[in-house]
Amino acid sequence: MSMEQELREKAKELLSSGKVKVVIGYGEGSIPIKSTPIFVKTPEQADCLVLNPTCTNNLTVYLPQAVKSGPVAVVAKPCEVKNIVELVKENQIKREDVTVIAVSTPGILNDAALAEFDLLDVKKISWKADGVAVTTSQGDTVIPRDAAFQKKCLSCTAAQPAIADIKIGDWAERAPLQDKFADVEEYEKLSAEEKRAFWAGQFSKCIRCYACRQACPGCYCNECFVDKNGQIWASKDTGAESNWFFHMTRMMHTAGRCTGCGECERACPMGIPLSLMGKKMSLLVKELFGTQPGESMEDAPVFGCYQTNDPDPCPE
Amino acid sequence: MEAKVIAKQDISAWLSSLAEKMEVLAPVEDGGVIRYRPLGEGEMNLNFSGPAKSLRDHFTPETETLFRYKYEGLKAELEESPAEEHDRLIFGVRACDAAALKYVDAVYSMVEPRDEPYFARRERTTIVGLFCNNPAWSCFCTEVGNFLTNPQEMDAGLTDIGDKYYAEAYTAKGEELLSAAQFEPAGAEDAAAVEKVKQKALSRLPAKGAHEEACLSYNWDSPIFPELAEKCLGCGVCAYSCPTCHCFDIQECAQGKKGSRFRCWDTCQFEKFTLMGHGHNPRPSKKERTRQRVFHKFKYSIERYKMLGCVGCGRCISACPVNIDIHAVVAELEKPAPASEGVNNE
Amino acid sequence: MTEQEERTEQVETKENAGWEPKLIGFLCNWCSYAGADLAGSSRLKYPPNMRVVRVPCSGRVNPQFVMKAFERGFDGVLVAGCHPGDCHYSKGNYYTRRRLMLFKEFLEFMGIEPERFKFDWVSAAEGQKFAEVVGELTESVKRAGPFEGVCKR
Repeated sequence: MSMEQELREKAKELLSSGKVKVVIGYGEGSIPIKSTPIFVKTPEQADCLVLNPTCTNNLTVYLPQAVKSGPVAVVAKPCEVKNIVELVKENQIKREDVTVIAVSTPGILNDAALAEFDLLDVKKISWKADGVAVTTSQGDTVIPRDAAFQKKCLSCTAAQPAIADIKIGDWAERAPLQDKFADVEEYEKLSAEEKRAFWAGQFSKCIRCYACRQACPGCYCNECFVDKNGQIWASKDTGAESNWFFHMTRMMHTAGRCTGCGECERACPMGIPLSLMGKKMSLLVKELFGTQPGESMEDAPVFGCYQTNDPDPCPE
Repeated sequence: MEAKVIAKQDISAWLSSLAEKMEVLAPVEDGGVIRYRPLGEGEMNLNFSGPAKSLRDHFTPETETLFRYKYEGLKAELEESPAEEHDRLIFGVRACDAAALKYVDAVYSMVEPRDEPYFARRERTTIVGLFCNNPAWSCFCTEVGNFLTNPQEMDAGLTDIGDKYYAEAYTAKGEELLSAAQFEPAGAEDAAAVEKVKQKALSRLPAKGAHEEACLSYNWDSPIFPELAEKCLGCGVCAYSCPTCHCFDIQECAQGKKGSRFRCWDTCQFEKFTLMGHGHNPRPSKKERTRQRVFHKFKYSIERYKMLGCVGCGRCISACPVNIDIHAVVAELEKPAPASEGVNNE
Repeated sequence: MTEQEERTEQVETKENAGWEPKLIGFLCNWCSYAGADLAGSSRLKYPPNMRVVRVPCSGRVNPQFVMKAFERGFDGVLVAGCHPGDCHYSKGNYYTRRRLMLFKEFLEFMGIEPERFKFDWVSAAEGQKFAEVVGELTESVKRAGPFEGVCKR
């Protein structure tokens, strides 16, 4: 049985038994190169669920809202299960309200891999043993894994999730194809001045559409600091400095809950490498406090606790 | 006037000679995205299906200071921002982006007093278009005016016919531009080549005709809106990539005894866009907000300006992080409604 | 004046001769502010470059305060509070320690020299230490030179 069929069967069971009211999964997009989030509410609709290399969205972003109308099942890839862990630990959702359908896929397609294709002619995108097959009117073309998959997938080890109610796919631990932090290391070779120049270039592009924030499961505040009209900490102007202030604050707010799913960067229409900052945050959290977001249900949220022997600015 | 041709290798010489007289902007590659930027800020890239950003920020900037103030005791000084005073030319503009200006003009013409900063920019800008050879998957301009065969708001338009561009002028400004030394009269074979290119481009676009008639009877209670609301993230990618979206917010920036008032982009997709001071929000959920965007483009615009508010550039479709496809939404809305459901326009 | 123009103006002013760093210090009411007082009443000499903002506890220091200071063109920032274990509110400084230790590293990642940000403990009895801390920060900021803004163009 293919992963997709297995997913549909499980979704049908969950819905017909009444265990959940809705299954959040992926459906066919408006064109075969895209998939789209769908909210499956009846067993019959479960056949609309798809699972293929285009299933890129982090669906856990919908959970805090979705659980308000009853128990929910959600399709989550290994990096996204971590977001659920954080949402539960931070009391945004209750563990018992969420059925986690953890799916370990070979990897998710990176949009740039399709650059050479006529996107109107792509009929189907599917997994093959050694990569991703793109079906066009000319037949199948297989893109090898390291060119086909998103960076985060190339460094994925498919480690056992901290929570899962249903597991689909191959959960055998795998060797990462790429070092997750290679780009961070490369960036850190820059001088302080070069770093600021780099971000000046990046942040001058930001148009404040807030797609990064909206796509982020860690950004669940009812009212974002940038939307407050009373005390204006972050100006709405789009100067590089104001944008710097917005992104810096967002990074501090998501520190310790950013699992590196990369949705912020994918959602950004201006191509700002936001996950570079997120990755550094996760490295720092690990180095300073010894925890990794979403890896255990026991660790307290990183800024919601302290140890008396935490790293100190002037150790005795 | 007669059509002209210009060899591809002469384009940069031509643009450079123009740059002596005015600012020249073109689609340049800048950090992985293509934007209309001043020449020299990156490598010009003319093989794009649509820049990441439309022309919008060149006419209604993302942040635009309206005036500055300072005060000391009871004495206050106000200083208005000076109007744009330099001429510029935007090269390589897609037909849809140029057509969008006609719509935005109509919006700004409705209000008094006249928006001087906007019209100053419009009047000082020359637009040289570049027609599409290879429309993107998300393009649907054939359904909203077909700007490939019906150019709007361009002073001149170029078509890529292999090793040269075929050029036509549509205004006196355009004619003057095409009288430059680099241009030669076009031959019959050039015109034939253009025809071929256009037919090929059109074959990639939806064949369906214009929407105007159907739009007025869109179903306010269509079940598609609650569906969209479920998956819409509530970001502003669609509106901020849209060439006809024009909504703005007014904000102030105060520092001690001085400050400025500026306008910046805003969108109906944000919750706070319609939130009122006393706490009521007439568009409280994403259902109302996604509907507003579709209805504004396709229905209210016809009622108000007698033209569609969408130019079919497809940016909102390709940029949407959750694949909300306005083209598919409109197709859904145009399916005949079941007889039992009435049309309720509030 | 837009924030951006304001910043440009500030940088231009700094390029003039005789530049002195402009520092801001967030001091906890119970320890470090009292420590600063003691430094003053003991007539200790330390550089006059710092503007002091008194906060009820170092736990009140939102990283945004520091970001805003840098965004608005301060050359250096100090945050000081009670020593761990001595917080007037028993644990405020433990929370702030987590936050600011991370933030300090992150600032460096974003290209803001570590010389510009100092985070330290100063008790009410440490007038001498307060003078030293301000002196060290002033010196290190002087070495780093005028701050050109969070985004260098």
